[in-house]
Amino acid sequence: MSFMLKRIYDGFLYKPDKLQIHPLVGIVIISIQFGFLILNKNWVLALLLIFIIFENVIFKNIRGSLSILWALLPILIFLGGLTYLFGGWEITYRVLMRLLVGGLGFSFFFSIVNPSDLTRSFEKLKIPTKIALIPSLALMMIPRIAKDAEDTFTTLKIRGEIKGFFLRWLPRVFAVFIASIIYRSEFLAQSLYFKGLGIQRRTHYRKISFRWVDLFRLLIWTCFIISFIFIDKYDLFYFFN
Amino acid sequence: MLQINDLTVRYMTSNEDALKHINFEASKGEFVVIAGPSGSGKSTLAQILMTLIPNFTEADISGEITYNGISFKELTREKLVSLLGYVPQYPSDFTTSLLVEEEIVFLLENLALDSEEILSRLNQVLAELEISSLRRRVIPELSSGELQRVFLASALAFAPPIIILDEPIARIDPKTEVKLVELLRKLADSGHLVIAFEHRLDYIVTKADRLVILKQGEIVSDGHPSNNIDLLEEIDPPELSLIDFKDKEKIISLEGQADLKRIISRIKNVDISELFKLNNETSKDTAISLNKVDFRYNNKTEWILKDVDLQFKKGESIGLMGINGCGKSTLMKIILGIEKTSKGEVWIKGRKIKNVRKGKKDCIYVPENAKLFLVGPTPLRDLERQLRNNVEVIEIYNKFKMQKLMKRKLYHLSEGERRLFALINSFYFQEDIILLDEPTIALDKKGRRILLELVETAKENGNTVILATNDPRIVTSLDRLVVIENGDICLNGPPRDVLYELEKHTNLIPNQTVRYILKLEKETGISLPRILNPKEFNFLLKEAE
Repeated sequence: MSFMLKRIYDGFLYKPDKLQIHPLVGIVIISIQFGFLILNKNWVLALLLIFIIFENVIFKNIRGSLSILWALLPILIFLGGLTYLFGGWEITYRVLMRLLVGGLGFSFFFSIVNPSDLTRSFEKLKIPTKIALIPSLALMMIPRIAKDAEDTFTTLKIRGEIKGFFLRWLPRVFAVFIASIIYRSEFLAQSLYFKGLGIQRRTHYRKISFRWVDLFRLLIWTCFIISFIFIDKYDLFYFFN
Repeated sequence: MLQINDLTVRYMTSNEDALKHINFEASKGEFVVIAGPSGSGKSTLAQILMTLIPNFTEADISGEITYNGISFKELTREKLVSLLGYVPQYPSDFTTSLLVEEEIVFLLENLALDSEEILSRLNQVLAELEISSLRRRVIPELSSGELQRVFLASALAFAPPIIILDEPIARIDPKTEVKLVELLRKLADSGHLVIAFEHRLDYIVTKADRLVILKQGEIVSDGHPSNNIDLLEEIDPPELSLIDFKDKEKIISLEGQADLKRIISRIKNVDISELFKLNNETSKDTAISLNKVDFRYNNKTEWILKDVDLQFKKGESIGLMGINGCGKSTLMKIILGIEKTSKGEVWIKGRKIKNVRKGKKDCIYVPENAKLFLVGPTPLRDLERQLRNNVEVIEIYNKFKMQKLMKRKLYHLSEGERRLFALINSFYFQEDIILLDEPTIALDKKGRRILLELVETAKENGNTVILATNDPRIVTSLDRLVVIENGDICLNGPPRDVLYELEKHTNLIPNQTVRYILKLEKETGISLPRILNPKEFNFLLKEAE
């Protein structure tokens, strides 16, 4: 469990030294991916995965994506086995592909989108700060909660609290973890209070501009949509369905 | 002017007043240090001033706080935010961004400052606190000391009229401590009111205008530090450090204070060689061995530890020291198997370790965030999980005079009390190796005394105790001090010699006690131990008599 949490933290952490993408472009593309993810077409899932792997490779998020793959591995094996036993290979394929596409897609999104820039972009669109901050805080909290959970788990392990059958210790770990999330949320609220969130219209210390790389990403996903339309129209992957 | 009139606070969850009839006045340009034992109401007062109580914590409050005659209740939030800057006790709980520079500018952006102004203040404060290299770092990957400096930067970047700091130097290394205190002095001189709640008083009181002492929720003393420093003796003494005031010099010991001339006349008659015989009895058996250990975090180019060779013996107490972010906590995590070495081997009691072993325990570890260690709802229940014997647990707490607090809910304890319970409980896990990360944060004199007592008992039982700390008040009482610099072990030996070398050659960590000893040597013309810990100092005085 500890290795999963550690890899979730690695895979979902913003990496400032990596290539930066305009947050709105990131949001648009993750929405496109999510939209296609819920389509019930097997070949679309394969195509999505290929495009996401391609992006992870060319934008050098290999370590992040491998971390997520490692974190997902036990879930993939467990759910894969379960769905194969009760639903056959097609359901197994869809479940596993959706997990992989979701995990890798979000890992890439988290690693290149600065949560604070996301707030600034929403504020530029005249969305009130208190609402604009919600997705940013969510992006920030996910790796932090994974880190808290890892620290909690490690400390309990060192204390010798984690031994025996997992159902004996899991509820205890979960309770401590939930308590730490509540605690962190409380302090976050206090911090936002004394740091003056929402007292007036915020200024931004730097501008977020569109760059060539954003256009390049949009181009990649435009190619994806065109490929989808083309393949779907001529039913090129009929053997897949 | 900030005024507190007859302030009394009682938490809804308590039957006792946390603060009782507090009357306090402070003007701009003052640098006020508020000290007191754990649970005396320091953090409550800080949170009342920040209006976090009663906005976030329910409490009965009577009395009034005013600024220039206007009650805080009448001030809008915008005015309060522009008036008060705050550095909390546990910065890691209060982060709002992932990047260091984003965290610093968050308040400035909320206050709608111009982008050029924000950038200029950001650059200035990063340079002043020497954290420019952290600018693009991700906050969860900072050490606690680095994060404390980031939060200080966040408060100082805006520099509001009143700056409130809750234990600002608890996690930072002594070199940064000096710089920070100078900076706070500069801020006060430029017209800000600086209020610091602090336990580590050695240096900060020398620069403060006022020292306010809180005890059991009441102000027992308020005045210039030179006038009421004696009262700290029973509350939170700076132990064996020089308090360097303009016109007189004092040395404070656990026994009491003595002037320089008296000390010198006593020392001249003492056989100093006796002193070197103390603390030299350690076992030859190795408990932990690190062989050529290299470590760096995933995908990072810089090495945190490089080619580290270290041995820790059974029955030995060792301090790990070094500037913030030097790798003290990382070294502990490597010993625990939480972090894997890039190269090299770690052996514990003759077994090579790979990772944290489930159910196979040799080590116990209290992290810097002591909240993580305690899992029971109360300290008593937490230790009962381990010892399974209620009578034994109560005896332990009676021994340390902690029985009053042992049934209190963890979240109703002060930070210092919680840490002390975590430390006590950890020593009764009966593990061979005890690792403590920044154990003295928020601890008062009583807490530090209990910690040293626990360390001594553990040593007698043949346990190895490793403490990652920059607190000079505690390291001098240990058997060995290891200093880490640039990923390397730069000094390793008896604390007094190590601290002397630091002062003499590297100037990495200024130490006031070392300076005092050097001064004594010069005046007496005799060679003294480089550092006297309180035990040795008392021995010295006794011998002299």
